[in-house]
Formats: sequence, C-alpha cells, structure tokens
Amino acid sequence: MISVFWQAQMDYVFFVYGIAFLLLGAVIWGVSKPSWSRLPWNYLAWFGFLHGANEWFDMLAVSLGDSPDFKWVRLIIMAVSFLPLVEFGRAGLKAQGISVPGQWIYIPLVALSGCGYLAGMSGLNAGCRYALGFTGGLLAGIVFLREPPRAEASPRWSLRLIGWAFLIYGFAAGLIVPKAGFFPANILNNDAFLNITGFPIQVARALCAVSAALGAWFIFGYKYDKDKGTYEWQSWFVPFALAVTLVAGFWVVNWRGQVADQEQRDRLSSQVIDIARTISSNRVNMLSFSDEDKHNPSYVRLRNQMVAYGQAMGLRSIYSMAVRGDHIVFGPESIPESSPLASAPGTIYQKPRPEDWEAFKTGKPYTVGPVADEYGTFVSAGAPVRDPHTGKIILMIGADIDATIFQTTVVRARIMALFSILIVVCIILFTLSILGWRNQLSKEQRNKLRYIEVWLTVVIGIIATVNAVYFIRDEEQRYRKAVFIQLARAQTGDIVQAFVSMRDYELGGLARFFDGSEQVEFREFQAFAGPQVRTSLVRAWEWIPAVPAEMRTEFEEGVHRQGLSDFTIFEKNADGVNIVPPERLFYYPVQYIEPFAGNEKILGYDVGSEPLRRSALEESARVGFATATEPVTLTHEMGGQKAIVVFHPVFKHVPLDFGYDVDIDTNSLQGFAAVVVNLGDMLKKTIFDSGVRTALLGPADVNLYQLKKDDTPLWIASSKTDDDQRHADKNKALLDLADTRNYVSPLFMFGKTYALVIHPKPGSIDAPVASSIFFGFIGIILTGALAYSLFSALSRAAKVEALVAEKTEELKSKELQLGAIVSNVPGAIYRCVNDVHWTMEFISSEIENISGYPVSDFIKNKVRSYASIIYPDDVTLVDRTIQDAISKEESYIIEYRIVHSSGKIRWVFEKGQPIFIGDGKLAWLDGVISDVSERRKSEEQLRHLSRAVEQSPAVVVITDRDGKIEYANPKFVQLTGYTLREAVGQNPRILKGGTESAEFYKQLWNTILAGNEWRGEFLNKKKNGELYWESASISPLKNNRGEITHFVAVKEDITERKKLERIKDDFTSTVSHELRTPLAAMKEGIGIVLDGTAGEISPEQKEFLGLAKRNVDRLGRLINDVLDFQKLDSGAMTFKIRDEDINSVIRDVGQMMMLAVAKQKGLDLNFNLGENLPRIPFDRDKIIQVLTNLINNAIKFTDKGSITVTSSLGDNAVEVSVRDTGIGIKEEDLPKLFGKFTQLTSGSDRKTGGTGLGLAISKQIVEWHKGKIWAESKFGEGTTIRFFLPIGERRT
Amino acid sequence: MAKKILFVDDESDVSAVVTFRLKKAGYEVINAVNGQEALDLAGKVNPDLILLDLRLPIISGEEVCERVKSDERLKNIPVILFTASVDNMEDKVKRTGADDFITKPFDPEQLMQKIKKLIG
Repeated sequence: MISVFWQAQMDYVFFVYGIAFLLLGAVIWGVSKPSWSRLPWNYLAWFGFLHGANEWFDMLAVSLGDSPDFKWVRLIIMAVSFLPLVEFGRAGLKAQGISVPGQWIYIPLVALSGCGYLAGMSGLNAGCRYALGFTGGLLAGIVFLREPPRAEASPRWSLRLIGWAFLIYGFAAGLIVPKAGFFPANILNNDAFLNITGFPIQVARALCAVSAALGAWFIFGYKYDKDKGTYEWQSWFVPFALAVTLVAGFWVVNWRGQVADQEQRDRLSSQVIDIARTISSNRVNMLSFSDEDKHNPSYVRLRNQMVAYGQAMGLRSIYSMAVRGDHIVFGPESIPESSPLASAPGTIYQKPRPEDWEAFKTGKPYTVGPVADEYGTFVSAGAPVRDPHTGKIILMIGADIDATIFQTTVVRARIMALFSILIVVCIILFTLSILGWRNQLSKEQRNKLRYIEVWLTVVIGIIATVNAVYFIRDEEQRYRKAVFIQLARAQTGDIVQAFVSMRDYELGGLARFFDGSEQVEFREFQAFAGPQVRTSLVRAWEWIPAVPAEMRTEFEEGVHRQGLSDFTIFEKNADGVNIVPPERLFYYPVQYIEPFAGNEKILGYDVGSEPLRRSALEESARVGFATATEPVTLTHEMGGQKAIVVFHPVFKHVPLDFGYDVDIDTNSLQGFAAVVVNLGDMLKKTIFDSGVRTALLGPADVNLYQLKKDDTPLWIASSKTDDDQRHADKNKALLDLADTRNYVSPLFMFGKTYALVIHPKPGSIDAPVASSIFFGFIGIILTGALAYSLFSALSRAAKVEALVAEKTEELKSKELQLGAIVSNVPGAIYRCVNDVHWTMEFISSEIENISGYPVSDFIKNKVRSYASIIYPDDVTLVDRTIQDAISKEESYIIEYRIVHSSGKIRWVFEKGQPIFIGDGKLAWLDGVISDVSERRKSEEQLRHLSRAVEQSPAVVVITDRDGKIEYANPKFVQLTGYTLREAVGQNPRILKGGTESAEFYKQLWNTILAGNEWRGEFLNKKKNGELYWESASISPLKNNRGEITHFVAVKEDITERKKLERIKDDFTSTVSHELRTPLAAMKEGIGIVLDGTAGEISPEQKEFLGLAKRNVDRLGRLINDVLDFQKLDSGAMTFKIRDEDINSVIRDVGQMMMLAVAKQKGLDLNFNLGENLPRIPFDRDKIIQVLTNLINNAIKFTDKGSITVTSSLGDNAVEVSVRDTGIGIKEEDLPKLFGKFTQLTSGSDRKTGGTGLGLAISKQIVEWHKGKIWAESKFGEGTTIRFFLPIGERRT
Repeated sequence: MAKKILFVDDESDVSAVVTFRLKKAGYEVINAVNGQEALDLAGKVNPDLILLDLRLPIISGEEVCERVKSDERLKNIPVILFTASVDNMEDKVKRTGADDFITKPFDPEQLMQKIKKLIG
C-alpha cells in the first residue's frame, strides 16, 4: 500500500513532473538551436509538451477524481508523447552518423504496444511503455551521451546530465509499468517498485524529468559571458528560483491541505462535542445496549433526534458507542436501518480503532482517520457523554465523513495552492522572458524599456502583497471563527444548561412535589412555585390534573373550596370563545397556575381539548418523560409569540424515575406538571445573562429551530425580537443551518430536536482584518519604496551611464584634439626627468618616427633610456647645454645627433625648458624633439651646390621674375667684365649684342614664362664691348605653388666652338665639293665614251671603261654616304616628317629594286604587307634610303632563294622586316653589324660595291625616328633585319 | 633652231664633258666660267636655259641665280642649279628662285630629262 505521505503528495509529484517536462519543451522550443548540434531538437520539445501535459492530467486525476474516459485520454496522450521521443533518438543517432532503421520501425513498435491490449488497459499501458517509452528514453539518453559538446560554452556536464536523465527515465518509465497480466509486467511493476523502495515510481520519473529540464536549461538557456568566462546570473537564478518556488510550493500546498484537513476535523469534532453535550445522561442510563433498546423510549428518542439533526446538518452518520465488557458496542445512531452501515443497538464494533479505545480512557474528544474499518474508510470524530454523578463515560458520540469526500476537500485546497504556485512559476518565467526579450532589443528600444524592472517589481509586489493580505486575513478569520465558535459554544452551552436545569430541576422538582403529595392545595402550589417564577426563565408553572369525566363536578367543587370560586373546566371553540367541553373520558384542566395574576383566565382550560397539546400530553404520559408541545401560540399571549408547553407526567404512587419499563396505566396518571416557556424570551434572557452579547466576536443573535425527520427545519424563536419574520421563510432556515459561517448547536430536549443557530455578528468575522490591512499597506509601501528606489537607482544609473557616455565622448574628443595636436606637432613632445638617463615621463608617438623605437621603450626607461640613443660624441653637449639652461632658468635649444634603430645617424633639434614648481624645485623638463636630418642634408646639399655654382665653368645667373639679376657666379664676372655689384639689380639685357631680333626675345620669354626651359644661343656683348657667343639654358624656378619666382640661366661661352664649327662646316662642304667635281668630270667623261656618244668603241675598251665607271660610281656613293653619315652624326641632317603609309613606301622601293634583284641574281622578292596599318610620321626619303640599304644588303649576301619584306603592326609601332635566305651572320658578329665601315666578310663581296656605312646610316635614321633596328640570324640560314617606327611619335 | 643653254662652270674638265653631251643632244651651249661672265652672257645671248654651278669665282652661283631671277628681262629663263654640294638643295632652289637642281656627280639621263622638262 502506498504510504499516507506519498498518497497525499502524489498531486505535487505529478505537478513537478509535468512542469519539468513542459519547461524542457519550452526551453528547447523557445530558444535558437545551437549551431554545433544537428540533433532534431523539436522532437524532444514535442515530447516535453505532450508528456508534461499528460502528467498534469495525471495530477488532475489524482486530485479531482478519475474516470475510464479520462484514463483513455491520458493513455493515448502518453503513447503519442513517446513517439517524438523515439524519433528524437532515432533521428539524433542518424545525425550522429549511426545507421538506424527508417521510420518503418514505428509499425512494429506500435504493433507491439497494441499487443498489450490483450491484457487489458493496463496491459496496453505497459505495452506502450515497453515498446515506445523504454526505446525512446534509452535512445535519447544515448544520443545525448554521444553528443560531443562542440560549442565552446556548452558545458559537458549538462549534456551528460540530460543523457543520464533520459537513460534512467527510459528504465523508470519504460520498464516499471502498471501491473498487467503478462511477463514481466506481472512481476516488475509499479506496485513491486513501491513495495521494494517505499516510494512510488512516479517520484523517480519526476526526478529524471527535473534533471532533464535542468540539463536542457544549461544547454540552451544559459547566458554565457565570454568576456568574464562565467555564466550570467540568469543561468543560475532561474533553476534556483524555480527550486525555491517548488520547495516553498510544496510547503504551501501541504499547509493549505492541512488547513482544509483541520477545518474539516474541527467542524466534525465540534459537531460531535455539541451533540454529546446535549444528550441526557439519564436517558443514556436507561439504555441496555441490546436489541431490546429498539423499544426503549430513550433509545427511540435519541435515535430520532440524531436522525433529525443528522439530516438537517448533512451528517450522514451520527452514532454512539459504549463499552460493554471487552467490547465496544453501538448504541443509538442516525443511520437508517436499511443501510449496510447500520448496526443494531448492542452490535459489537469488530475493528475498533485504537483512538476509540483511547477516548474511552481519556474521555477527550478526538478525531481519527482516514482509517478503514469494517464499514469503510472514514475520518471520524468522537466525544464522550459522562454521567454527572459518577463522572464515568457512559456513551461515546461519533460522526464520520467518508474519506473520499474528506480527501477531495483537502485536495481541492491543495489544487488551489498548486495553481498559485503555477502562477509564481509563470511570473518567474514571464519576468525572465521579458528581461531576456529586452536584452535582444536594440539599445534605443532597451532604453525605452529601461524601467521594466520597476513595473515588474510593482506587479510582483502587488501580487505578493495581495497574497500576504489574503493569507493573513484567512488566518485571522480562522482565528476569529475559532473564537466565535468558542463563544458561541459557551453561549449555546448556557442555553442548553438552562433547558437542562428547567427540565431536571424545575419541572422535575414540581413533578416530584406533586408526586410526593396526596393532595396539593393551591396555596401549597403557590408557595412552591412562586419563588421559582421570579428567578426562572419559565413563563408560567401549571398543574394539570387528569380528571375523569365522572369526577368533573366533584373536582370543580373541590377547586371552588380552595377559593377559586369561578373555576370551571372549559375549552375554546374555533372562534376562541370559551365553551363548556363536551363529555370526555378525561379532562386535563389547568388547576393551578403561577404566576396567578394575569393568568386567571387559563384556570379551568382543558389542555387536552387542543390537539397539539393533547399529543404532547399523550406522548408524555406514554413514555413517562417530559415532553414538549409543538410550538403553540398561547391563548392569552399578545403578539403571537411562539411558546412551548412542557408536560411532565405524575403517576399515582409510582416513583418518577422508576425505570423505563413501566406499564403506563392511565388510571395511575395523576396529572401533569407543566411549564410554559416563551422561547424568544428565554433566548433573550439567556443571552443577556451570559454577558457576551456585546463582545466583539460574540453572537449577533441566536435562532432556535425545531428539526424533524424528513421535514424542513422550523423556526421557532430568535433572540432578536425584530427577527420574527424568519419563520415565514423555510429556505432561509435551511440556509441558516447549512451556512458554515454559522454556529449550530443541537438541543435534544423534551423529546424534540432543536438546533440553536448563532450568526456571527455582521462585520465581525468578515470584518476587515486590521493586521491584513496593515500588512497590505506595508506591502504597498514596501513595493512602492522598492519600486521607487529601483526606479531612482535605474534612473541614476541611466544618468550616470549617460554622463559617463557624454564624458567619455568629451574626453575622447578632447583626447582626439590633444592627440591631433600632439601628433601634428612636427616633433616628439616630451616630459622628462633631469637625470642621467633623461627618464621620460611622457613622450609623444613622433619619437617612433625619429628614433625607430616605440614610445613604450622610453617611458620610465622601460627598455632603453633616451640618453642611450644620443650619439656618444654629443652626450656631453646635450648635458652641458641643458644643465646650463637649468642653472639660468632658461629654455634651451640644441641640435645633436641620435642613433636611429636602423643604426643610421639622425640629426635632431631639441627645444625645451626646465619646469620649476613650488619653492623653485626643478620638477621636470618639457620640450620637443624634431628630426632635422633632412634639413641638415638640404643645407649640406645647398652648400655643395652653391660651391659648384661658384666654381662652375659655366655662367650662372639667377634673376627674379621680372628679369632683375639677383645672383651671378664668378664666371659671369670673369666673362662679362661686370662686377657682381654692377650686375645685381640689372636686367641681363645689358649684355645684348644687338644682333638678335625682337621676335627672338619674345619667343624666349614666351617659352620660359610658360614654364618651359629655353635653349638657344646669343651673340652677347661684354662690358668692354667685345662680342661673344653664348649657349644658354634658361629655366624658370617655381615655388611649391607652381608659380614662377625666378629664372636661372646657365650659359656657356661658345665663341671658340662656333669658330671651330664654322671651320668644320666649311671644310666638309669644301671637301665634298672638291671631291665631287672631279668625280663628275670623270664619270661624265667615261660615260660619254662608254655609251657611244663619242663614237664606237671595242668590246674590250667597253669592258674596262665599264670597270672604271663602276668604281667612279662607288666612289661617289662612298662620298655621299660619308657625308650623310657625317650630317646625321652632327645632327645637321634635316628631316621632312609627314604621316605616311609605310606599305606604299615598301611598294615603291620594291618596284625600284625588283629590276635589280631579278637582273642581278634571279632572286624572288616577296612582300608580306600587313593590312590596315596606321599612317605614321616619318621622312619618306630617309626610310626609302633605309629600305634600299636593307634590300641591297640582302641581295648582296643572298645567292639563291628569296627576299621577303614584311610589314606588321607591333606594340604601338609599325614593324618592318627584310628577310633573306642568304649566308647568314655568325652570332658573335651580330653586335658589330650596325657599326661604321663594317664588312663582315671579305673578298668576294667587295665587288658588290658596299660602302660599309649603309647599316650604320640606317640605324641612325631609324633611331632618329625613335625606332629601333636589329638583326636576327642563324649562320648559313639567312638573315632578318627588323626595324620598327613608333606610332604617334614626332620629332620636331 | 637649237635651244641655247648657258652653262656656267669654272671647272673646265666638267664643263668640257657636259658641253660635249649637251651638244650631242642637239643644244647650243654657251659656256661661262665665272658669275660675272655668266650674268653678262645671259643678258647678251638670251639663253633658253641656264645650267648654273653654285661654286663660282667672282660672283657665286646663288647670287647669279638671284640676280637673274630679279632681272625683269632674264627672270623667265629657267635656271638649273648644278652643284657638288650636298647642302639642302631644295632650300637653295627656293631661296634663289631657281627652277631645279642637279648634283654632281650627275646621272646624264637625269640631267637630260630635267632640261627637256624645262625647255623641251
């Protein structure tokens, strides 16, 4: 059997179980899946949702009751929930690269599950768990244990945790199954587990679920701070908060359950105590606790009263027990005889509970249960009835609540608490997701939601306050109720006591008074009853003798004799008119009444004439006990107040308390002692007497109801006079009794069943609870204060943040500005200590450029001191200069050398000053060091340059922009004869020789003012008037803006050179002329003879003259070539450049040569001309000359084969090649090819008449065109000469 | 009637062979040996063409040509410069107003062609 503890906690176990899996689902579903894992996470989430829901349904089944339909629903959900778990495992293993069966595997698995149904529903359950649950749990566990934590932050242990959790879960949920009729479910099942371990398997499953959820949380939900290497607070806070909530929730749920439990017990106990209180020990003593009791009026009365009360109060079983011998036997009870729970009086209680025995010993009221006995499982309460004389417990009154009903009430209370826990869990998760959501927003949106914590605090604070207020109020009200019940019990106790004493002492005493006397005189009656009237609650005391008909007159006369002369027996007709009663067997006239005054009219009234009274009279006479009438309206009463009349029979010579087995013989009946009780008055008086009416929680009023079996309760009286209308509303009576707020106390009296109902004073129990208001107030203030302080902290943080941001920005911009200033200073700014190292406190980054070492090296001499990089020869200079400045308190300027990290010497310029603080103590040196190496170099260069200019053999003159001389070098002075002083400030035109035209000067100025160099020659005049030739180069000097500031003229005296040139030209021209003229005469002379102009010549003559002519021609060509070469060499050759088509040139030359080629050697001359060649600038005649040379050469060295001239488009040039199939050129001879007078072969080719200048001239012509010419050859295989002419290059 | 060519050259050898060839070709040749004589003869004989060496004693060939070309009576006489110089002859032709030039040593056919071209 499941223990009481676990039985009670199963709802909470299911709650936690469900919440864990739902959270598992939510965590997996809600977050982005880790990129490192390819597991099919969503399947696991679905399992979490479905199975979590299933467990909650289990919880509801446990709490609120189960049904077969609901069982089916849960079974199906469970089975379905396992499918995604299996799929997770299957697909997960697949993702991990393990070969797994396809999805067809579900067919056998589901079929296997279905097989379980052969053993019924629990068999199906077991089947599902075996086939799906076990498989799924195991696979999921293995998947997790195999999944390596690839993400850097994913802790290995969380994967292990979830892995082991699922592995164990597979066993706990898949192997431990509901008991079913097949192996192994018939052996290994939930019950077996419970028997062995003592706790239900669901606890183990819930623990697995919690572990799995925790593992999932740490895989997914953690916030890992990479910078700090720790988890953010949420990572731990959430599991911690949930754990705290669930533990606190466990406590709260149990507390609420216990409160509900206790309330039920208290109520039951209270009712039993109240019943016990109102039972007369006299009656009990009359019981025999045997079957005979069924006819015993005491038994019957008690039983009837119990039934009536039980019905009215919804107590199904009020029973009683007594000890007889070694047994507990049952006495009167409210249970109908037909009920299986009914026991005849005297029935032995077979399985009494120990508490029952205990109660008989101690006599204390008790509650017990839920405990099972032969009648079922109940929660029972008991309270003893004692014999006031002996103090012994003569009866134990008991009442039961069915355990199921009892448990249901408790469980409902727990469920309510569970919901509140769920709300707290939701609030935690909601808060977290709100905060998490905010973290994902942009900074601006986050700023808008900056105060979300405040609102959350307010919400949580209000919820907490409301809860606190509710619980405090609940506690307080329960306390008030307890006080109220105490007071009400005391109050009703007074009333009960008043009735008991009226019955036992007052009425009983009167009865005994009559019983003990043969004849009671009126005066005697007055003497006996008179004092009691003044102290008692009884309205009137009466003596009602039984007067047989035959004694009527005699009786009346007897009364007359006692001074009541008007006495006559009467009755009232329907109209209330007194009439003489008809003839009867017995009359029951009121013979005496006290108080007499005001009641005179009642004397003689035949009480038996009225049916209600008569029925009570008869019952009283029959059972021999005091018996009350139904409520009656007194004949003489005003206001129609209800009263009862209680009759106590008095028998002739029969002792009153003789026993129950008296054969009531009406003949022996002497009469009735009777009291009239106005119940309303009585209640009022009693309450007034008890003095608690005014107490804060005291009863507002007391209502008296009469209860009858199978009838609605009847209102009789109220302690409040203005409440009389209540009797009209029967429903209200029912409500009054059923209302648990009211206190109901039974009053078994005079053979009737009454209930005293006390209402709490309006606004007492449910009055506002000061402490809860106080706590509510405190709670709101605390919430407000917390929210406010949070708000101000957040807004302060925001302000500080903004301020920090602003300051940071400011600082940054300042730093930037300062940094910009410092870095823009053309030097390293420093602050150093005046020590031998020049220890740097600060030095700007420029030092890195200057020294090649990083700044950090120098700060505090970390790597090297500044002193260490000063060039050794300059150390002393630097030190001396600075110390000198310090002593004079002046700034200092030094130029010295340092050694750059590259080892090179750098010149630096340093300017600084010593800083003194306070009392004139030297604090540090501030200054700036800049690199002046370039300047030093420039200075050096300038010095060299100026020396060069000074010593230059050329004249150098520098003028300003207007042409005024600013500088002239010594050569100028030497050449012109002007002194420097005379020249400076003058215009160079003082040198003008006067031969140059104005146009010439204008062109000069245009050239140099346009920024170009002008070159040219002047004929100038010296100071002494002597003329001289100058070659000048004049160029403008520009400043860095490109503006011309000066002109520099570099001039050379070329007078001598000019003279020489002229001589040379004259010489060349003369030589040319002098050579050609005789040649012309020779040639013409030979020609005239040779061509027959001068007459016939012989063939021999012709042959030798031909020889002479060839050599004359050759001499002429040689002279031409020499002169050409000379002109080209000296630059005197003039070119005529036009855009020409190279192909047309080639064709022309080809036509010219074709004849010669064919005529001389029978060679082929081929042309391979490129198409679409651009026209390019060249001198047609010169290029013809080149081509002619090349082709002539080719012919010269080729004996057979062909000559091919090719033209093509090259790289920005037109390329021409002349290829022959001749003897070729040795490779080592190629470089010599274009030299002067180069004849590579000797002998035979001399006859060809080459001058040896052709290629040299060709080279010069091609190069003049900025082209290039070269030869390619393989000896013996011919030669190719190529040249190209650039496109678009023009030489002016 | 044979056309008259005034051939001016101070080199008698050259003069002899050229005169021989011109005469053989059917021209009447009048020889001058210096610039002055050339100018005098040009005025006197009114030649159809002047074949003028540039390098002449007394007055240079260039000057002779310039004077001929600036003389109203003589300027229509075609002048062929006949020289051993290789200086830029086109320039010289242009400057002096001559009609053509031929350099020594000369190609007799070329000479004849040029003469023919000018006077037929």
